[in-house]
Amino acid sequence: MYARELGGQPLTLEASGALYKDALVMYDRETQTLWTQIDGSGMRGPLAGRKLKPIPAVQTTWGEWKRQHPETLVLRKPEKILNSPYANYALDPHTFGISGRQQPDARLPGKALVVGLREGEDALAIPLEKLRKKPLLETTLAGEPILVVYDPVRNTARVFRSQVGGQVLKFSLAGRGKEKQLLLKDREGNRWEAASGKAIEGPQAGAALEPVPYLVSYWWAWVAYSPRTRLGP
Amino acid sequence: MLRHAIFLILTLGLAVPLGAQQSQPKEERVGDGYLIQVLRPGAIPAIVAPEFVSREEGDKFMADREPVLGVFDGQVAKAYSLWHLDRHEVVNDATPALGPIAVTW
Repeated sequence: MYARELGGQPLTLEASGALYKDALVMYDRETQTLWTQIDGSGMRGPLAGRKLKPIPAVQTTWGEWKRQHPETLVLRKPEKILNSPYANYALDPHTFGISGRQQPDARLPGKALVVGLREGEDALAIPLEKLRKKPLLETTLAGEPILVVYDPVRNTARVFRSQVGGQVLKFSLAGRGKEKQLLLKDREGNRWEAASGKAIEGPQAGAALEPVPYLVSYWWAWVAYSPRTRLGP
Repeated sequence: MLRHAIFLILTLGLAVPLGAQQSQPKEERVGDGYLIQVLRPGAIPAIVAPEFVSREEGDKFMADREPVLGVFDGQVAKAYSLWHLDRHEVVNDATPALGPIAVTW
């Protein structure tokens, strides 16, 4: 949060759509100067070299903030009663101009992280939040069975095809092995390393599950590229 | 700024393997870093005329565990939903004691 008045002139700030050193860059509509969000310094343009004064702000929850400040005001949002973390902004009047879309996809908060998968015409996003609660997910992509497994210790997700040699395997978690490797087992008596997809024990020992390309992305970025994405699990 | 690093990696990562509908982001050397234009300016519209309601009204559209950015200037307390900020990146607001402020997350 920054004071946006410089030398008596209030600036109107907006996202410039650019990143600099991994940080969001703003610009002001008055002079088109670019400002980094990290420290509020002007990087390019008429006000380059100037600095916006940071203002301490608190990041907390609505419940907590209300307790601390019972008389608080709150920014009005599009009218919809929210009773779940994943609000439905069906009537959001604010446009979201990425890829020409006029309506944001409100199935998830924009900065929710998702495991994004795409094959052919099919796109599937699985919230990381859901994987943290249930780290093994068997689903399909473009009609083919796949396995999504999340390792909270390593904070990584892996996605594989569940079909091996014409047979669709059913998996479950099998604890951890050497070096805390997350292990899976199937109903055929095989044990698999989740990280590599390799069978380390059983009739399929030595075989490997075929990895499926995936990305971990912010929901809003995923939707920008795959507007018709399905949302799992 | 981990979240921005993730944003960077992912928007670029998405552009490459998925044969993005948009062209590759433009890169420009500025100072000792690179300015990477991923979206056009204004693609994420800032809020310029924010409206505020009371806590009681807010309870109708805010969840208790909804993340917010809060500011207290000694007189006035204001909260901004992070889910809402997601869509706009910047709220141009003002308070009596602080003057014009840019709420950004």
